Amino acid sequence: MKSEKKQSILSIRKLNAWYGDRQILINLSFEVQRRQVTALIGPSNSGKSTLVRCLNRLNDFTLNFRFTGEILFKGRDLYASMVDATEVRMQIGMVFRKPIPFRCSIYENVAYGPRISGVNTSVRLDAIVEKSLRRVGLWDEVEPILDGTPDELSIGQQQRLCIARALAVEPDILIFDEPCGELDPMETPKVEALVRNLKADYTLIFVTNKRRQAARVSDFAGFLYCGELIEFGATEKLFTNPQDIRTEQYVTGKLG
Amino acid sequence: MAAKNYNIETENLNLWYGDFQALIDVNVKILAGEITSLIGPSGCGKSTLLRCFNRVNERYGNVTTKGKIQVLGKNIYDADVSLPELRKTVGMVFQRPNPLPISVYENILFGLRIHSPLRSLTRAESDAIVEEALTSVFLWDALKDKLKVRATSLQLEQQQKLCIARLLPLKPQIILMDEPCSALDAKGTLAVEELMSYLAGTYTFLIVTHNMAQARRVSSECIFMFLGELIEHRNTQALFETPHNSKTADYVQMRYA
Amino acid sequence: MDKSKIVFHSIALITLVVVFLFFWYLIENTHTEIGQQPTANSQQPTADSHLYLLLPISLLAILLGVACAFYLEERLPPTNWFRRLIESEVAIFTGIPSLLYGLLAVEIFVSYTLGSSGQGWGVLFYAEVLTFIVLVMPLTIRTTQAALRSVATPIRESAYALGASQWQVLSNQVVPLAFPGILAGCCRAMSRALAAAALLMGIHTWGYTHETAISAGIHSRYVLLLVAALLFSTFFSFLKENPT
Repeated sequence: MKSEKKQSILSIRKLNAWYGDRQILINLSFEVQRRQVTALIGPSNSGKSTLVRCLNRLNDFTLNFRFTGEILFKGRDLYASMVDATEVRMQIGMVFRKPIPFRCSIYENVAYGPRISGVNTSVRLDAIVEKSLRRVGLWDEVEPILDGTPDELSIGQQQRLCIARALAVEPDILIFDEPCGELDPMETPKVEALVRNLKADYTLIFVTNKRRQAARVSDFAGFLYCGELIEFGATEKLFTNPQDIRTEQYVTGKLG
Repeated sequence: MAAKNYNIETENLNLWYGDFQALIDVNVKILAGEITSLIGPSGCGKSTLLRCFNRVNERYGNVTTKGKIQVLGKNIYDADVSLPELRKTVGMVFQRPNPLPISVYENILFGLRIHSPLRSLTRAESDAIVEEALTSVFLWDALKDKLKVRATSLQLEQQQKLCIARLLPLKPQIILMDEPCSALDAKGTLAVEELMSYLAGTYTFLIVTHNMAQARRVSSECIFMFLGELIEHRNTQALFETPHNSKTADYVQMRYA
Repeated sequence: MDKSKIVFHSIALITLVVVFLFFWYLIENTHTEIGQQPTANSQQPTADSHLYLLLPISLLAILLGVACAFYLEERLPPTNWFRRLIESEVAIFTGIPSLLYGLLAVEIFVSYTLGSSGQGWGVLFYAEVLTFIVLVMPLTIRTTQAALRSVATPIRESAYALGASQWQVLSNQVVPLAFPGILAGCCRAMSRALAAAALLMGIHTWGYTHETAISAGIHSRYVLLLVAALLFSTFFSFLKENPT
């Protein structure tokens, strides 16, 4: 299937990763398509988080971490010596499982990213903050309390605030590492809807251990099992016609 | 079977952490020799209930318990109950494998040594005990040449199996497990589940898990808890396929379809 | 900003200010009074004039300690040999009671002042400075490191994920969160310095002139210093209970 519209933005080639002696990722290769949602599914401790943390170089700070293989972002090696890691993380943002707003006002939370990248006129910051908060559907809820602390928000609102914070730096790719893991069932659909909506402007990578969630939000899906990428392909195909027996067991809920 | 044999019975068990009531009127009977799983959303009190049965809850200050808990027919809140004896009979395995930072061999004998007089074990006896314990958790072949190795340097899966093995020399009747597989990958999880099925019958297992596929695979009885209350306790298959309570149905459906 | 935070910050600051003032007052007075006392050699500085030095030296040692802690904790991995070496040394030095430092200093102090006629002064000065640095720095390093470590990794990672540099993460996120802890550590180190100063002062004036020292009221100031050290430690324990 070669369509003109499809375009790879990130390619992972023969990625192996270790923490100390323990191998976490075994020979992974796949492509992430521009402006699509790519889901990574699998039982817990399969290496999903390790994998996505390689993609924005967050593992740089992890002790005893080492890897082999290549990760190409727009054709450039992410780990090449002249590549600035902070630049990478600005272009490949991340939203974590647990929403962790900074200890400052809601406004400053969203403005943090633009501020550190050099935006300092209040007119522009105001515009960015409003745009980002509108994008995640939080503007109307928080407009009167922009100077208040994020502690007053519900967990779901905090998570959307964290998404807005990540959007404020205008990344190309946004990684979601189990963004609904801490949310209650009422908040989850909002975040899922947001993910589908963001697809128009961003490339999204979505880690989850809930298969139905992956089926709902993603266009492509990869199934990780004990550090190996067992199967990767269009979500629909992976869920309805899996090629590997383990994938089938997983999507039907027998495994993991 | 006419008369079922129960290992644990509770009557109107209530438990508070300070002002917060974590368990509300829990009445439960745990079948001897079976694997019973405890499921429910996080914060529903399943771990708290588990921790009542060997009284480790008391280690956190501010805990008030009311009601009756009978383990093997004996009320564990009676004044003459010895905590070390209780915890010898009711073993526990934790979320993260926590072997002691000593050799594999000493890990297995550790429990026995603290419960028996000094130097009462001969070398041959201890060797036999270690071999038996490791054999019953399928580790003997892998570890028989590594008995002097520090237990914390083993693979996580082996460490968790070792944590089960070290309970066995004390001849416990009941083994409590608090999400024993959450630190393991899928292969390790399957291996530990296989081990539990093998040991069931000899021991009564009570396992807390957030993984419903696991509850379904491994347990014969299943308890669903919600906000501190015991909602449903039935045969696992029945609970998953034809839940009586609508809350159980919601919870089971939420991740299954 | 929540109220408890403001309250604890102000307590810490007020304590620091009060103690500095107290210290200053003490040194000023001690100097003029004792300085007039007759000594064997007029060139030989009197014992308590050295207390002048304690304030800048302790401040210097604290700053040095904080800087050292930042370097160890934020720039070196835990497996680095240098970090491990320093950390084990720090653990040993913090374990030594300040009394021993005081005695050590006095030992050198007294033997030089009494044994020679003024030539010992240079060595003496350095001995004193070193003792104070060795006394104050390890504790500062240790508490500062603990404060830095208490800032949760997820907070750092969220900032990194927005493209912040290591310096930005440190200055915008880590330091503000760790600040109360660092301040508490400095207070603790200061209280340790105070206790040792009291010891130094009390013991070594004795070494000169038993009767004059006591009659000149040094004894009472010595007690005052000890009380100040105690008070300081009490404030410190307040700080420590504040969840940061």
